[in-house]
Amino acid sequence: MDKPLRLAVFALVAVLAAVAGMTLARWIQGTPAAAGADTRALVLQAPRALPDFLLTDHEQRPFGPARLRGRWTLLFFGFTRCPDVCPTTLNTLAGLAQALEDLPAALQPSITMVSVDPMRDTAEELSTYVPFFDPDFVGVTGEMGEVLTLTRGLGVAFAYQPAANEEGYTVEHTASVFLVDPRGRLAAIFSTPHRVDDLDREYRQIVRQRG
Amino acid sequence: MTHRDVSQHRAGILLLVLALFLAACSPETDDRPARIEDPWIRLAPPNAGMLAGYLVLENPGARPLELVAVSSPDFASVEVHRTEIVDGVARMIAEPALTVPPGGHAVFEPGGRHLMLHGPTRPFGEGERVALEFRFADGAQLAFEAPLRRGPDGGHHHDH
Repeated sequence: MDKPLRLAVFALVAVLAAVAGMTLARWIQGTPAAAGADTRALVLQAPRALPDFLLTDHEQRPFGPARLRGRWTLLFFGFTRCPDVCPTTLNTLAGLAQALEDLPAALQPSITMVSVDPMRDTAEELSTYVPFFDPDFVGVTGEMGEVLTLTRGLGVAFAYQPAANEEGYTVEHTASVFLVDPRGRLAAIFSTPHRVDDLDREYRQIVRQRG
Repeated sequence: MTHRDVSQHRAGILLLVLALFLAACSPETDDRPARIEDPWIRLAPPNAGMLAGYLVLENPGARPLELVAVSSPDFASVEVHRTEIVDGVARMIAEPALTVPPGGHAVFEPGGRHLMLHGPTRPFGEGERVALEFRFADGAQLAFEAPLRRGPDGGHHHDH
């Protein structure tokens, strides 16, 4: 496929994914159970299994459901050409990782950014970008179809918009942070705005209740 | 001159002095120039093609302040954008002209309005400074420098 056609197909797929994602997000949010009165996080009463997917991390290793098992994982969806929301969130998550350093290693979360712009964000690009915020952070990319499998499974929406840059587009995307439990199931969603203090308190609360 | 004439004369001089004083001062209070408070640019990975800048733009003047262009010798282009989050989805809205009312201010902050700095012409290290220039609708220009910082939540310098 030539580049404009490929972009058009991806754009169409992304729009469909966005609609599906938003529908799913509403469905998920229609059955919430708050962990407590002082929490802003959406904690799922019944953690939800994720679909099978196969992506690649920034060190070129396979990243599938097995990588989400055995420890808590915080997933953020973004892209490297995102000037405000993504660096802001990754900095906040770096602050959170430091705030949680007193927890036993098994309870400390793995923090992962999944690219919603896999055409531009290669594993190599992510290997420069993601560890900049915290050396332990993981960057994930892969085939668009596999990215869509994961985003649909979580209720993450993203869509391409025309923009005056080299490639001609930018990406609108869900800015929430998703908590996956050690059994690889979606356990909670932290919506914006994200503050280290809130995330720290809520994460500890959820891990204590569900750990 | 009677005593009353002298009083009126003195009052007249006092009024004249007061008028001159106000005349001398008022153009300054009307034209107090725009100010930039606490500018900073978020330090980004070396391959980031876009950075974001934050500050407070104050308008102490008596007329609306309209920001029409931003430029920097260190970037291909600089635009004013606003992040909006609707139904959890973040999108960027361009603000090609930003008007700050008299006595008001505009806040540029993470997750909200920001300078979108596109196409850095060189790599930046922490603490380095970027030259920026605002141009306003009345032709006035305001040059300032913004240091590169990791940001309020920057993990590496977080204290406990």
